[in-house]
Amino acid sequence: MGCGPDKAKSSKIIDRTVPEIFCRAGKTSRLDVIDLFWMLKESGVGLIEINSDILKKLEKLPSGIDFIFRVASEDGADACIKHDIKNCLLTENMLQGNDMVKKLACAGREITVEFEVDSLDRLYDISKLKKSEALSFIRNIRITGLGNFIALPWVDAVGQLRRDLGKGVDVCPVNTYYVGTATAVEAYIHKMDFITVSFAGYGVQHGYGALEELLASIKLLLKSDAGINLKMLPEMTRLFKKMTGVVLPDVKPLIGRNIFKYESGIHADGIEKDPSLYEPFEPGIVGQKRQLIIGKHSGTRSIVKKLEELGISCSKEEAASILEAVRNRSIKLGRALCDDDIREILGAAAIHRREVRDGSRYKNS
Amino acid sequence: MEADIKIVDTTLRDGEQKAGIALGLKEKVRIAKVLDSIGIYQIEAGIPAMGGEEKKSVQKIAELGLKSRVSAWNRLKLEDIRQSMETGAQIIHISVPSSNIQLYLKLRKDKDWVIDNLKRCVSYCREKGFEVTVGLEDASRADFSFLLQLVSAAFLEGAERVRYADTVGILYRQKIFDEIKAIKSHVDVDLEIHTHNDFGMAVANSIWAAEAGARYVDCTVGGVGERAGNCNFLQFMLAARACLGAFKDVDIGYLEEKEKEIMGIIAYKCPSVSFTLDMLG
Repeated sequence: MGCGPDKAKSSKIIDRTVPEIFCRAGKTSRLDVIDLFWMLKESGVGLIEINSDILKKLEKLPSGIDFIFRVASEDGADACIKHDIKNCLLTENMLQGNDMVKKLACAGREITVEFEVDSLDRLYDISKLKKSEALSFIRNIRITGLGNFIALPWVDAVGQLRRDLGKGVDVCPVNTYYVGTATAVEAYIHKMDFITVSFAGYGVQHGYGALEELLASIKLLLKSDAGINLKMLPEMTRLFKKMTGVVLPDVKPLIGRNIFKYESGIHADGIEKDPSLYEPFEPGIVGQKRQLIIGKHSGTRSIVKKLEELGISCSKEEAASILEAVRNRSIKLGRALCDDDIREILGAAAIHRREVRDGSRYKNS
Repeated sequence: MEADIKIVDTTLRDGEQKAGIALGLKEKVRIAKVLDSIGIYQIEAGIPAMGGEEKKSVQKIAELGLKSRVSAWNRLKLEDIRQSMETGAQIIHISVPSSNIQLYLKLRKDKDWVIDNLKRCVSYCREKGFEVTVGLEDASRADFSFLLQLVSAAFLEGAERVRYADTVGILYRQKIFDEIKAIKSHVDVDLEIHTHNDFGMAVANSIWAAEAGARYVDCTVGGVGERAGNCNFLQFMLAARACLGAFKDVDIGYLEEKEKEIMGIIAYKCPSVSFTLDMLG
């Protein structure tokens, strides 16, 4: 498939997770790699980056998925042609010898060249390439970096570069200063041709913009569906952990296991009335569920709701009578309370079952 | 820490609201002392209206005589505000629901009611001699003309500063930059930005808000907070240095050390809590 610039369409997402995993983790099974490929495609990724190591491991690529192959040598160029991989990625220094570039172009490969960019001046330097003979063989420019670019001038400068060179632009923001995803979203808003990211932002040094954050931003903030499916994020997270051994923080946006746990009285009260009061989207959209936690910040409504979950009906007044005990126990233990803690507090407060047949009712005795 | 941007640390209020964190008086006081030692401008110490140990914690922190200014968080209720005043906190922060969803679904009040009560509460604090800041809860989903009404009302009643709160973490550059600029052009009030990290953009959104003119930035240590957490303090400091040229004289190594100390206090007290660490670096 072609991957040249097309301003009428939205950006195509490229994922570079698998080469980063191979670069760092090393051992991973062929089946896991293929599973991850399919999940990436189903989530909304348009092109999956691979390299010689991955090709060697898989021997044969699954059909129905589009790849971009990072060429690091003559052998790599031959492998790209042999396996009929339409898109290939070269580094800037490979432009110096035109032979490999010509060979790939003559074989009908669509070539992207990667440039590291850490300043606007660097973008202006790249625009001087328009005099280069090799440029005629190149389809796209990948700009990797932009770590500290927060203002709009980078968008204008990249747009100018695209016009000057007449090539497609692929933006691959690094996450050195924690703005990688935001830069990727900015690139999408400004219709860059391609945006390259990785799952959970995984990658060398500080990694890249995070794939799941970009996809969720496109779908939920920018309201542009673009064939994005976030429901498989828990499964992708599980596979990612298996392949890398990385333990993700429980608050990792979209994929952290605790992001839909809620405790504070204000939030619990709000979520009880309408979850959208304190949640940016329904947990089910990203394959998760919300969970009420009881602890120091709980209010009476939370306690009533938690007791209902435990099959215990109690009034707001009864809940208020044990609120202080709940908070003190949580502070003492330094954690949320488990069901047994709550039952113990109920026992100490002498709240007993009122009528078993009538839906497990309790009352103050 | 000397820069045009001032940090409001809300680890002890919004950070502690992360499900599962339950700090006692001793831990809150220890954390406040560490925050003070790194030059944090303002420590949002807690919610006195909760009563019990929480109120005592805010009181104790206010009594320490820290260089950092100590604030207490309140709903739009005079009875909450009176509780905060009793603690001796220097700044009374009043959180005002600002989006239609917050007004009609949670508060079940209309816009006139909110503006009247905002004026009443701010005026009450000023009469009692307290510095007041007003938080626009869920500002990122609010009707912008109503936001301007709230900002104007708060400013005219004597609020020192207005906080733009991205309560559910849905901001991105265009929106926050444009709205902060627009508020500044209408009302000459100091602005504070409060972001959440639901889409992984809390640090970037805070940077953009600062670039647009918000001089106060809310952070939490380790990024702790509801759902995916808040703007991570250390990450914001690093980003502000690189992107805005701020905090050039700050010793980042010292901040890292103190961040670890605070995380250690929280982790010791609440071992089930995990932070947003640079685990991918």
